[in-house]
Amino acid sequence: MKKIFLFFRLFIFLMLILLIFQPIKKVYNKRNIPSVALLIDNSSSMKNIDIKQFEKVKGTVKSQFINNSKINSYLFTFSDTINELKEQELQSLKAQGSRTDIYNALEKTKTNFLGKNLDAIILFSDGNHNTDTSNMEILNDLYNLKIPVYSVKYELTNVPKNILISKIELPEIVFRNTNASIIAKISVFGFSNKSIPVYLKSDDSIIQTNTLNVTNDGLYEISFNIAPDKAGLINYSIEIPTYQDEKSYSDNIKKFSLLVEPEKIRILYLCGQPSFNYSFLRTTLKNDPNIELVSFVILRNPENIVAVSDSELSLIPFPIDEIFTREIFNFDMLIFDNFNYSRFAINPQYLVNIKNFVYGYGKSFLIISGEIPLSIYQNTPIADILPVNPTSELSTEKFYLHILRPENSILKFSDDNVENMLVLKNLPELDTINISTTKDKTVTLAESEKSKHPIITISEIGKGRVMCITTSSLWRLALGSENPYKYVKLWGQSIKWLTNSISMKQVAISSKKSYNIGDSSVIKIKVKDEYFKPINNAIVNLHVTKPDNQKEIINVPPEIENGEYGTKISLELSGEYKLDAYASYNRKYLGEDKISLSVFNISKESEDNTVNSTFLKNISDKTNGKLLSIDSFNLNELNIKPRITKSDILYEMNIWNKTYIYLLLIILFCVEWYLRRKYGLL
Amino acid sequence: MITQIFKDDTTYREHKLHRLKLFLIGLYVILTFNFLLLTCLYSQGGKFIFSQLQYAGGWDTRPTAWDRISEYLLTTTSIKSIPERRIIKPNDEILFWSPFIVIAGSNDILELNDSEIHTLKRYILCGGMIFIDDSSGKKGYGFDKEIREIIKKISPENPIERIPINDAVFKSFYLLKSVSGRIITNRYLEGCKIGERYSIIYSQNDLFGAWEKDNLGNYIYPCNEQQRWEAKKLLLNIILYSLTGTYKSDTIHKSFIQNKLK
Repeated sequence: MKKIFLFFRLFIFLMLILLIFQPIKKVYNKRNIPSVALLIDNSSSMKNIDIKQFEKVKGTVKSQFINNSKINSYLFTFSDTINELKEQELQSLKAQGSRTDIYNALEKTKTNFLGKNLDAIILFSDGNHNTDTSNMEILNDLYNLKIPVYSVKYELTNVPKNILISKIELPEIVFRNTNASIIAKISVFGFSNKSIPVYLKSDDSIIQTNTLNVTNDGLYEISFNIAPDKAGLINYSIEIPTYQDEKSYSDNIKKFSLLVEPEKIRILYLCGQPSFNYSFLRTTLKNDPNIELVSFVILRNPENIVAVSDSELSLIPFPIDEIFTREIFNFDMLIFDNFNYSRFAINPQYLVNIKNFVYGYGKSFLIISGEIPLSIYQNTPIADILPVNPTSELSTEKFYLHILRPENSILKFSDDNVENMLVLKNLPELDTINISTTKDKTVTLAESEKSKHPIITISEIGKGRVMCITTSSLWRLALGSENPYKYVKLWGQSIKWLTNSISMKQVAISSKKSYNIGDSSVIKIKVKDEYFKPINNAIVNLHVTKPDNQKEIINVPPEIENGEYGTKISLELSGEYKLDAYASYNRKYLGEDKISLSVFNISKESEDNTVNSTFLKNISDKTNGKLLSIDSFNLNELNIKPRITKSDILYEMNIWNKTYIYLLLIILFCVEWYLRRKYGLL
Repeated sequence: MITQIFKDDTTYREHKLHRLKLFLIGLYVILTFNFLLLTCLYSQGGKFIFSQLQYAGGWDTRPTAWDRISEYLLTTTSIKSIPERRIIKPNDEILFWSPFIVIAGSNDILELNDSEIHTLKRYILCGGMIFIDDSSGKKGYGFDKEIREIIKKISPENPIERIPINDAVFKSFYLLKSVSGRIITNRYLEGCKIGERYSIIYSQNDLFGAWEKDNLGNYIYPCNEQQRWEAKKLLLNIILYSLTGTYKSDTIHKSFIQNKLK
């Protein structure tokens, strides 16, 4: 009996503890039928290969999902947007969407079914996603979906013979003399076990040939490595020979343009002695982000005596042999400033190398006379490339510049000719001239006003360009002016001319040049001040003239902290879009630049002529789904079952606040008390 | 008598004419000499010119220092300089022919008006460099207090800061590991940096005082000889810095200099 009483007490005790924890009973909603969202891709690419495959999708949906009591189906169709599809609309559904946005379709489906039951997504698509969201980004975001996606792909059967350059991937930025790769995606049908030549052409000349070894039908990639030796806009095309019985010949060629940015201009600057001329020019070149400067200035000559050990001096050896034999050819420009070659054990061949550097290699040479007259180069190979015949005479006269070629780009300080002339007339006074006479093909830009000695001369020597300055006081253009603008501008333009560079614009607009209709163009505008330093808070306006002559002005915001501004424009019309970018800073006009974009009346969908099985498989793998084929699709084999999720709770019941529980406890207490009393245990 | 008087008068006139001729020749010679001197000062032909700012008060604290420095520069470095010191006033046009100017000061207060401040502001923005040497050895008042106020006005966007010891100033010729001077008021140099270069350098250690000698060749201002030598090296480096900028900070020099400093 005692055991029974013990059991009673323990039971009551446990009941009391349970009630302290306020137990809740959850009652779940029982679902026997799974809910499935069917996403049918109706973009144009679904009919590109074989329209029958799209019809097969519709047939499968109709036969296996509609009126199927074992499954709750929600029909959607998607291309650039996703829309609900009514059962009666299925038969008339056409593949005509302009884009394929799988990401948007999956995201919207998830949002639509938020708080509702969805057990699987069945995606009927060719996998040719073609919006700005990359395939990789989609796959990375899929872990948020938490719904299995069953991808159903086309089968490529009975596809007509064709070779199609479906896509060309170009690097965002290409620099001159720097390797860049161009990737062509080529769809091949009906040419199994064949080797096909693929040509990369520039202005109708073949510059590279690669061979595509086709084993089976499908999508192939082929890449070309280029290193353009010119800066600017260069036209290219990728071409494949046409073969008999091809479905289309026009898709064997694809034209495109590349804007080749010049790499940094590499300048080697040799100066015979520390001077203000060196100091000013070096600072100017160093401040220019387009220039990579290596300079040597001779701080001490052999006759100079220093009363300390070499370790206390910052002097480094002047690597004559290295510079004039190997390194020189890695530079775009060489500067001799008051540099007396005869002070060093310079092999005569080195001067020949300098001549070849300009004459044969097409590089540039700037020579500035100082205390050492340029006549030291007479009877040397350097004399052949000098624009002047120098004398050993130095005139210490003060002089003003008399500009002979105000129209020359080097002397353009303003776009307005009258204003430019005014600037040129008011240049500060200079001093000291190394007297010289000009050679036949030399262009004299400026001479001394009274004595008529050439001061700034230029000439084209062989493939290269040479400039000669016969005064060492050009720094006066900076220090003798209200601001150093003219000095900086003069050198900027001189280097631009010498190196034949197009890069030194204060405002530079860049973008891909050719598009298909419906694309968006990402426009980048770089803005620099007159000293070529990036400006981050300039006012940048983009004037867009559309093919129908409608105009639009867009204020372009800064993107990152390096003077780069960016915007995106939608290209809804085919034809030519003209873009003019204007920049100003503190009400000061900085410059403008223009480009035009060609928009072809070809939709992005027409580029996709195959099935991207890999992408579809990746989507399924990421979401615990499966990749299936439309030919063998069988809903029953998928074995989709209703998932119980937390949101499936029908109701919750609080046990602790039920009266009968407390009644039961009281009864138990009473029974226990009664029995104890009856058996005389109290 | 009349003839005599007339004769005397004629002689007197001739004599007067002769004196006038002599005066004109003298004037011509002086003017020509001055013109040549002026041309020489103006025409520097790419040479370094040492210019010093003249202001009301004791601007010329170390009048002979440049003579010693120019000799030293000539024997030690490849710099070609004009031996004469150029003395300029803040509003002189010749200031803009002088990319390096020195402002020396001691106990007198330097005062510049708005126009002079504006000129110096334009001067540094156009590429000029100012070296200020305070020989008073006093911090916080007198010349130091005034010059700091002036620096604030000349370079409002680029305030004065300590120049780090690894800056190109300390390795433009000699490799210096510390800041010295004839007197050591500060163990650092200060400066205003425009772009990558210091356009104003301020020392309170009487660097010019370390060079100053009397006619017998004895140093005028007492100083420990090692300290004097270090002060001379620092001043030479500042001059080289005005002519080469941050040249010694270029990548090509880094490994050499690091090895030497080990």
